[in-house]
Amino acid sequence: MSSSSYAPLSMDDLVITAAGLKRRFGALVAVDGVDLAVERGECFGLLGPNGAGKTSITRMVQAVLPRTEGALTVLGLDPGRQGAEIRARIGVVPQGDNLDPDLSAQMNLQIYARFFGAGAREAEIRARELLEFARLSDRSEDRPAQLSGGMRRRIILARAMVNRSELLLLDEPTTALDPQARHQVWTWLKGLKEDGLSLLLTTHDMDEAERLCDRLLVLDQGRVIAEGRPPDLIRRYAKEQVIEVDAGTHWEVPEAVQCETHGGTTYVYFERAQLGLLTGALTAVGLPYRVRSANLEDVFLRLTGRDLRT
Amino acid sequence: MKRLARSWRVCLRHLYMWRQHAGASLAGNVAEPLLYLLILGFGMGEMMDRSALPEGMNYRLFYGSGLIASVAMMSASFENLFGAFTRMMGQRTYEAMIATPISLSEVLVGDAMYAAIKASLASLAVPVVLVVVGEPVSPMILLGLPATVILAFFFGSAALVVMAHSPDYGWFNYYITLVLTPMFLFSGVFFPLEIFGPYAEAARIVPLSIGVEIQRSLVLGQVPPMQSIILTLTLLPGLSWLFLRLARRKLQQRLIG
Ligand SMILES: Nc1ncnc2c1ncn2[C@@H]1O[C@H](COP(=O)(O)OP(=O)(O)OP(=O)(O)O)[C@@H](O)[C@H]1O
Ligand SMILES: [Mg+2]
Repeated sequence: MSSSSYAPLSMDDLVITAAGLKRRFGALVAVDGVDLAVERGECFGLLGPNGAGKTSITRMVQAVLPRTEGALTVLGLDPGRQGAEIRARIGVVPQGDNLDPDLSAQMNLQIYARFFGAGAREAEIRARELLEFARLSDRSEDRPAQLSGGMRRRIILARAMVNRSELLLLDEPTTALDPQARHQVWTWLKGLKEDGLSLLLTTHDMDEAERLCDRLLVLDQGRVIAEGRPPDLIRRYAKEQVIEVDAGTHWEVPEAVQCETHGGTTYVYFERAQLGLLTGALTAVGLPYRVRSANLEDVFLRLTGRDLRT
Repeated sequence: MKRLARSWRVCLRHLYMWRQHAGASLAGNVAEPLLYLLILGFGMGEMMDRSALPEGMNYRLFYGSGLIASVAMMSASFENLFGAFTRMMGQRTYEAMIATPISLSEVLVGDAMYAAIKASLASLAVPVVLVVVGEPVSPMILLGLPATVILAFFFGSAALVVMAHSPDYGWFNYYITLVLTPMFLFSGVFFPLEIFGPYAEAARIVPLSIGVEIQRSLVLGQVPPMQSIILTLTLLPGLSWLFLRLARRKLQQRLIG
């Protein structure tokens, strides 16, 4: 990356760094002292309930939303002073759809490329390439309203790559997609990561986070409440396996295991070695139960699910 | 890319959109002044006493020359009220644009550029119509184009401030009925400013009056009053700059936080 060679050497492998990052909206502290370091080439996840501050962080990284306090660098640059340079080198998939409704798929990409400084001819070629890549060449003349939600999402993703970005910020890229479309996006994102792009991925889909993220952090009310690699987080907060028992029933949960109740179901987190003990106890009292491996959803619920946010 | 180049890209996007329905748009630009000219110029104009008009002018030419400026005002204003508001709210176009190297203030300058271009083209239709109906329009009217562009840029910028502060389309009516319509009626489009007697001088610095004076002189092949030229080169750009800043400040709060 010759363009970033003037960045401090220590920063070279870190595409995003934040220290004590804060953002207030009036009295509300949306982001409250977040530390973060995203390495080049990794997919870094931002998880957290609604209103946790994920989009606010993304917009600060995007150099659109000014920060209230703290340090932040993106590609070694300061979003406060070098916003245009940063935005020239990143791609953004926003939460929701902001394609231009009056323009065809082709023109959406083409005009966007022009915003990044591409010449007329170059922009046209780039837009065609990206539509090809999104497998939407045959729909190039359609306007967004004529396309399905999944197709629009693919165009938005393609649009984020119009400037051959080094860093992609993805804010809930697969929300409202059907399983096929979601898998397709995942395949894409994996491919981009293999090509060396760095990804900052916000998602509510724990399966997605587990599949794609090398590391992630869980936010709640603007603060980081957990950080790490998905398997480590699972191990730490949800052990190895989970038994689900319908609540309203009672049985003495052995002291050694951790359990929690959400929405009418009791979740028991335990090590594989404890399986016999637990299932024995449950069978003895005649309660139906399900056993499965622990996953990131368990981690998320354990960390943030104590009260439901509206 | 430099700041102005980035604004130009925004303007190009709008121009591209406009081209998609330019036929209808241009037809409207010609039809509207033609209708006004027919009603006011040929109809009412016949009943008017020429002695109050400048030398060498009938009412049709008098009114038509004022219309050159007022069409620019109206067209630029409407574009940056309704058009810009739709782009900002309904279509999230602003949000998409500021995710690129283009900043919010550059987007707004681009919007004002577009309003200026579109409105200037619309206003060009007026002298064309005047010539077609056989009025002796001086070729010097072409020199008025830069003044029209500046005037339209000014009204485009003012409309952005109003748009930025409006919760919905309904609010534009306050600006249209309380500012634009009175300006249209009292800036010398319909009657000479001399009618205001001692207040005529004050009426001459109203932005639309500045444009009307310039176009009216040029239609007759005369050099416009120095004051109008100076105001066009100083007051209008200065206020445009201020309005663009105010619009940016409000939109920064509203769209970004
Ligand atoms: N422009 C703004 N003005 C005022 N408050 C804001 C603004 N943007 C965000 N907030 C508030 O900041 C908090 C964090 O919002 P943010 O959008 O960052 O959450 P999020 O984690 O992305 O949530 P979600 O999962 O629902 O997308 C919320 O309480 C939100 O209401
Ligand atoms: Mg969000």
